[in-house]
Amino acid sequence: MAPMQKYWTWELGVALLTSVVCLGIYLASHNSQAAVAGMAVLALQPIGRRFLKTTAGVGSDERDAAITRRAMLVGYGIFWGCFTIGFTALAVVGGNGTIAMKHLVWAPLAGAVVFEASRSAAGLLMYARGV
Amino acid sequence: MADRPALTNRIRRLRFDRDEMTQQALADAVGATRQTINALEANRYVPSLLLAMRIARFFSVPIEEVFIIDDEDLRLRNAPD
Repeated sequence: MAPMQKYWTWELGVALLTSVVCLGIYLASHNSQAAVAGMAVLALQPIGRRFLKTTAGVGSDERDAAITRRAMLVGYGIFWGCFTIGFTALAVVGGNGTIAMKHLVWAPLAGAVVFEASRSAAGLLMYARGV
Repeated sequence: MADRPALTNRIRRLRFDRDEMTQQALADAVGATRQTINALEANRYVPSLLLAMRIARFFSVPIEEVFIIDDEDLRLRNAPD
């Protein structure tokens, strides 16, 4: 497995773990604001950088860079789609087309999770299927 | 015809002719990862001109002897509409 593949795997794992922890807190407490605390798991992300350090050989090359660029585009596209649909739905549900303040607390963090998960999943898929 | 790769290569053959050198050794020599060499040999990745020339230079052969473009693909692209 290439160092970049390990990195993407770690990123995807952190995003999924964050989702699981948030859901777990919500199910245990039935408090959506408390569930936001689960987003602290995202702090594990920078640890993934250690997979990019190689003792021998080339760590990453032009193919890794191409996959990273494409995965970023896919991640951003999915994030933007979710962002637009999500906020439109929240505005429709909210009174007078407004979005409740409590949603603005978790929405950016959920967006970060969606972005990380889709970006890393796209990256891993590109490594598996070839670019 | 669409699922046929337009660019194939002889990297595996050249590698074996050179004392069966490993993908890792070639990767280190040309500044790429072993996974990229593997993807190239499987025709799952089209390299940049820079990497293609590095590989050709490493084997001391012209670039056309390493990478082979599909003649039919070239003919179709050059055909008048």
